[in-house]
Amino acid sequence: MKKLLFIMAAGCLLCSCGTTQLYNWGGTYNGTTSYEQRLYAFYDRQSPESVCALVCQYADMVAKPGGVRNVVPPGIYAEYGYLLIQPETAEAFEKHATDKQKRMFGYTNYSTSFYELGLAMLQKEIELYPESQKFIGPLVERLKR
Amino acid sequence: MVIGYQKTVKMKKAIYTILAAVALFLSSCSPEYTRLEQYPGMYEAKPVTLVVMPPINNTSNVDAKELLYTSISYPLVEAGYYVISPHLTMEMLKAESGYDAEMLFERDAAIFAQVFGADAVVFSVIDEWAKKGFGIQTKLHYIIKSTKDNSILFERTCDLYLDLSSNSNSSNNGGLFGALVDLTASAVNTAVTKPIEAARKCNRYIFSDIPRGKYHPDFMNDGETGASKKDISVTVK
Repeated sequence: MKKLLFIMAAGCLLCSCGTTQLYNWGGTYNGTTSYEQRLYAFYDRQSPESVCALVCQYADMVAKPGGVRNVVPPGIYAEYGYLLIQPETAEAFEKHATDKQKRMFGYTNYSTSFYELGLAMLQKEIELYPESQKFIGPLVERLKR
Repeated sequence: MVIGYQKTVKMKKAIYTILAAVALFLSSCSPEYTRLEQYPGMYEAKPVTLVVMPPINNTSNVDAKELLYTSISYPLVEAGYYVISPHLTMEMLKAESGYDAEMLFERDAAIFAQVFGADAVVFSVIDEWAKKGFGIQTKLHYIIKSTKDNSILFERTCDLYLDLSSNSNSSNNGGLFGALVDLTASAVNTAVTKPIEAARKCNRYIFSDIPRGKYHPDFMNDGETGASKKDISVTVK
């Protein structure tokens, strides 16, 4: 009985404190999302490995939407697309990605494939979030080769 | 019979203790203000798209700016707003030589609607970001300005001490040696202080009571939800 009461009380407390995420951010470690950690590592280290890790982070996030809305969070398609379109990204990935990371894509020509995927991702941002058109639309035009 | 009576008394005590704990918890949660009282402009303007400017850094800590900037999007997106990617915003500002938000702060905010399609622009000012004890002492100022009429929709000044000690709240049962180990662990933790964690805590705390945006189920239904004071001084673990 006591156990039951304790569980009920603990449940009440947890429910009142609980938060539900709107989106999937690739899991959390120590309260910080995997996305934030990889993005910061990318800024901080600027290494080819951090670029590969961030590319895979985005690939995972767009493949597995979650949370209450069950769609990709605002800005993620755009960031992913922009990163893929940069020629340095394909170069870094081709040379430095691990076999496991490469298996996520299975491309033979990263330069062309990343560019095409990048444009598609930017378009997806506009489709999912039409309010991004004003900023992303001209960006897509500028990035077209 | 006596055992049965003792059991009943113990049970009653347990129930009262739990009820008291719940009451104490609820009273500690009771808010001073509502979101509608604190941020009426947000309910009137109903901004959907936010663009975040890189922080204005008034400290000598050069990392603070990027640290805060890379973790600012999450709490606003999770609050239901469309936040233009800070990463892309920064790339664009760098290309246009406008990376310093100082220059943009005083300008007519309508420019952000023209360029980014934003309904509001988020500015932040770092006045202090320094190691102190086993944590980081920060003084931050956040402002969200409407791009329609330059009115301030959200403003918060925050003296935030980020307690990053790994075991500051745990009891030390290991005597002198234990205390030494505790101290070393805390020092190491602070030395490698995951600065991203500190920045994340700041941003999460500051925007925790922002009225929910278009993509949140509580959009326009959270006016009576509790909100904190605008100017706060707090320790966050």
